[in-house]
Amino acid sequence: MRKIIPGFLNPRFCSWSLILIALSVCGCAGMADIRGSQGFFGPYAQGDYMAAAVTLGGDNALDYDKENLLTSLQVGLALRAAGAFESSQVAFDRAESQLLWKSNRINSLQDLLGAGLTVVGNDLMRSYRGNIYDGVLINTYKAMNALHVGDENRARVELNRADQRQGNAVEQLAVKVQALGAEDPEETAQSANVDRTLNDVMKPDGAVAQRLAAVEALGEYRGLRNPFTDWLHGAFRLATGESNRASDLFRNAVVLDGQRNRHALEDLIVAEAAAGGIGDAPARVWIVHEDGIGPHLEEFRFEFNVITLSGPIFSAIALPEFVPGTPAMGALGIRAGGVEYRTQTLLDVDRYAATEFHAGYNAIVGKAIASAVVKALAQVAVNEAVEDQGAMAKLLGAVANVGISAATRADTRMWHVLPHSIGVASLPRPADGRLLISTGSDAAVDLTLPPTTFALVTVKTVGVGAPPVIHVATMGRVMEQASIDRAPLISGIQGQIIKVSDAADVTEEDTSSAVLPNPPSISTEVMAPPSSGWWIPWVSVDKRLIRRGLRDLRMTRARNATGLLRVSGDFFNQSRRKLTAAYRFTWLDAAGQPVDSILGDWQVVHALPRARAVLVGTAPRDDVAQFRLELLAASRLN
Amino acid sequence: MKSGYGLLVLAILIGSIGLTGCGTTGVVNLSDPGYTTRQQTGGETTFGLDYRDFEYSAKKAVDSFLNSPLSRTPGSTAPWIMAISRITNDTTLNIDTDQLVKKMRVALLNSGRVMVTTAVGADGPEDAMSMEVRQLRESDEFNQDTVAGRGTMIAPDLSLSGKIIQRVNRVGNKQQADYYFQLTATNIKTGLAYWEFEEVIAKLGPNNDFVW
Repeated sequence: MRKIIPGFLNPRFCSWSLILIALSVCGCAGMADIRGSQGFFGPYAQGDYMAAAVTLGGDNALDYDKENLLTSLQVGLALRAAGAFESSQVAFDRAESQLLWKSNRINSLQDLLGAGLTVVGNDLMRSYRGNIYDGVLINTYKAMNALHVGDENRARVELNRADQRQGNAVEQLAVKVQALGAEDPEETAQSANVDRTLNDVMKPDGAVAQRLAAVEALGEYRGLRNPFTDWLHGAFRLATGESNRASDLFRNAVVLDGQRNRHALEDLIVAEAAAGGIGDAPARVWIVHEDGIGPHLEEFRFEFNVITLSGPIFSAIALPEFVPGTPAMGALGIRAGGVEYRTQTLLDVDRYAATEFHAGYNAIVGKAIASAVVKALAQVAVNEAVEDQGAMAKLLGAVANVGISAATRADTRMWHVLPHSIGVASLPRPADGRLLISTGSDAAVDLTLPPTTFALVTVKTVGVGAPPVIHVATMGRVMEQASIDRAPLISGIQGQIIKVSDAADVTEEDTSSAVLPNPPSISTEVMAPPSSGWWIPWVSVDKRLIRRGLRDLRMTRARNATGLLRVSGDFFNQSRRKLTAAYRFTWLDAAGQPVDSILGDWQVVHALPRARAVLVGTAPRDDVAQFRLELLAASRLN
Repeated sequence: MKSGYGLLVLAILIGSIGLTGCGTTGVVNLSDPGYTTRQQTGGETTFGLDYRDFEYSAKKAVDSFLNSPLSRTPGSTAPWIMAISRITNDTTLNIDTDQLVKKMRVALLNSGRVMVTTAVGADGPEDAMSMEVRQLRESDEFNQDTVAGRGTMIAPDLSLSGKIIQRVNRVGNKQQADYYFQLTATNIKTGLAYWEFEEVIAKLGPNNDFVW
């Protein structure tokens, strides 16, 4: 018997309608992020960084949804600018925990979204997922935060993380672009229609192609690797006495930058000189200038026709448009030791962000067009179905049609408060420890450096009306007064070595001619008693091992060069399979009491088929007189 | 029909057993053959360093030191006095290198070959009290016979320094994290390295996420 189904419950009609209704409700998380950022941006652009952070994170600036990546990024940077480095670190920690994916996790667009990367396009249903370059910058900022609170160990960890992210960026970007370009079956079914529409939209003189050309004109950083992070890492390694590593990192920065930045080149020369000489690198001061406000995305609506069997259907898509950032001061002037310096840009953030944006943009446009074609065809199907149905169906159909236009909103979220550019200057530490920093508009800032061999001065300027913010981090060691006094003798990049102590300071004992110690004779005293089975009372062997092929166990003992008892043995694995044995020495003192030591922990030895394997143990103390050895099948310990 | 359901239930059961029997991280320790035989607190092998890795490396280091011909002060039975210098964590992990050093200190002290001074260290004294109590020399409140006198502290002979380095490489569709535990004991008088040690712990696993 044929069932009678009300018109509005017709499966085909319901499917199309529900798809369209589902599309119509998207945008919740994304719009909330966008609205939140708008309130944040006002005080940030005025240089009131703490007030900006409070708009998102409440009184302590950290009271927000910890899983909201965009908020963590914005708050982290604002707190850093406000000098609240510890709180900034908390925000960046939260952000980092959501950006840990590597390439093998991604096989499809769904994997990409699940792993936590933003798809530029209509992705407003989801919370912001970040970009690959966001991850590198998070660790870079965390490293600088750590330096500002004097935590050298943490800075090293963060710089190592940034380095690994940089190394993976090219692979991650390739995977991201590939995932974005993957077609879904519904779109493949309409490929002819999609291709025809795409060709129309991507005409060279069209609005989309022109915008893409503008992004292309910004250039790119090869391998999505930013030179500033490498340079900062190099500076850190130079300050911690690792000049070889510093030299490699400075070289990376110089190559990535195309040898435009004179200061990075000078640092490379200093590091090379230090790597080839003896002693520390000469004292230096590094100035990092974060200038202006970085790039952002705006919505760009594009209208076109989709050809269907019922004729052309008017459609529209919303795409993000890349809008370059705005500079504030451009460069800083610095006067130190009577010499004038100017910062030079090392990271163009427009170019850096555009590298990732541009790589995926073609695929994004293709996906948006394909989606629009599918939606247009769905609209046709709904309209046809509605013709013969009742009032409920007409209502659903109306809602669905509204959904088509509502669904076309672009995801314009990005880490908008990055600087427009990061410039650096590198100079010898002035003898008087004073720097005059000029931002162009206000009076120069007179800064007295701390008495350390290296210092990192960070200056942030967001706009002409906003006051510059300056923070100083110390690196290297505290200088002795004599070294500070001698500093002017060191001519910047020549790589002379600072002598830490005067000859007069050297004591008589120190100046006596050094005598190489005679290496102790390396000899061992064999203690094996005449009986070949002397060890049998002291060794227990698991029967399971014997069943599995252990044969011909032999033991020797001796005193090592310094008199400690050393016991070694070997056995033959008769079987055709690998034999894994666990063994443990229990060392006994003269009274027969066990001596507790990590040298008595379980160890594991593998014996290959029909081969011998060796066991070795060293007594933990001189007074060890005897031992016990247990040999078990390793499987018993699992 | 019933047998079809039976097969389905069986398949689910086998699947469940299979899942519980496998580690979820997919990471294996390539260097320490006894790693999985040690008691596990977290249960899984991860790319990070846990107490099993520190225990393994400390044991290897102590064994190496005690078998070094210079582990005993030349011509004397007195122990070396060792200062702990900087042990640098050059990895992407937030670890405390004391996790390694403390295990070594315990074993070396118990060996009778080494005593560690806590009055001197790369970043200042580990225990500032040794110097603090000397401020009591002028105090009438303290019996001066019980206050440490001048020239009673013992300067170190050896300085222990080192580094834990991490290198991550892609191996096919997996990644391998290698940790290099490098230690040096330097004779402070001569500046010569009296003992050198390196042990590598390698871990192989999926290339899905960064290792930290």
